[in-house]
Amino acid sequence: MRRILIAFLLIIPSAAWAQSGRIRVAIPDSLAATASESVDVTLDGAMLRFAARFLSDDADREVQDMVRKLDGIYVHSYEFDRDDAYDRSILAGVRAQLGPAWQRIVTVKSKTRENVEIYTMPNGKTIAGLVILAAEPRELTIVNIVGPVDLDKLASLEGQFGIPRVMKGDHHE
Amino acid sequence: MNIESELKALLQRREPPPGFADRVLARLEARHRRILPRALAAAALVLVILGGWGVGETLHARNELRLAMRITAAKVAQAQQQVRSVSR
Repeated sequence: MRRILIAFLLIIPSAAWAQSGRIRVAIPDSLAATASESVDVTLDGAMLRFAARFLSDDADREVQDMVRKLDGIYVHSYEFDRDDAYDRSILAGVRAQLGPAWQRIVTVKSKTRENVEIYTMPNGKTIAGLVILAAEPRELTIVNIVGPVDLDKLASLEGQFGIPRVMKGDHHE
Repeated sequence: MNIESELKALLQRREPPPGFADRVLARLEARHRRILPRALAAAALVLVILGGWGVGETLHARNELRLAMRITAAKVAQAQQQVRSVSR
């Protein structure tokens, strides 16, 4: 009985998270230690709105509009000096959480560049959550955005904040 | 004299010496005058520290948000472009 209760208490928050578009990313501490560069951003609703208030540039204004409606942004990105420095089960752990409410909208497999998977959680005509898994031998990025996201608008931000535009002409599978 | 009468003598009401109340009030006022500037200075220091911490936290959160959006936008745009180039 006690075990059932504990399991129940563990499942309820995960289920609530899953419904909200939030996923749990289990990244071992050792990963950041072995990475040559690492980024871990955790901005939940209150902090996100607080941070958005202090965006002031023109480029920032578009972000501000987008961020105002969001409930959370969680980004984990690591770069390594050698190939296959991270455990692929991290990605499997994220995929396992993406139940039937999630749809994989993009899968990019590349021999020369990173493999990208984009998942969204549709909510009527809008998106309630977004997960991006980008993996290559020396880089791992997991993004989770909770709340209504406009993918085209998001992509249009590329080139702003010093984001380099992606060059054309790569070979893909 | 027994204990009872000693106690009665000790506890009987006596008038304070003349000017006692004024002296007490003057001392309290002087003490307040010394403490108030120190309290104000301490409060100002706390406000400055909290303000500095708040500004630091705000800038940190803003930079984290920019960084998160930068990474996310780059990944989405890259995927979109790869999809477009394949479908051409």
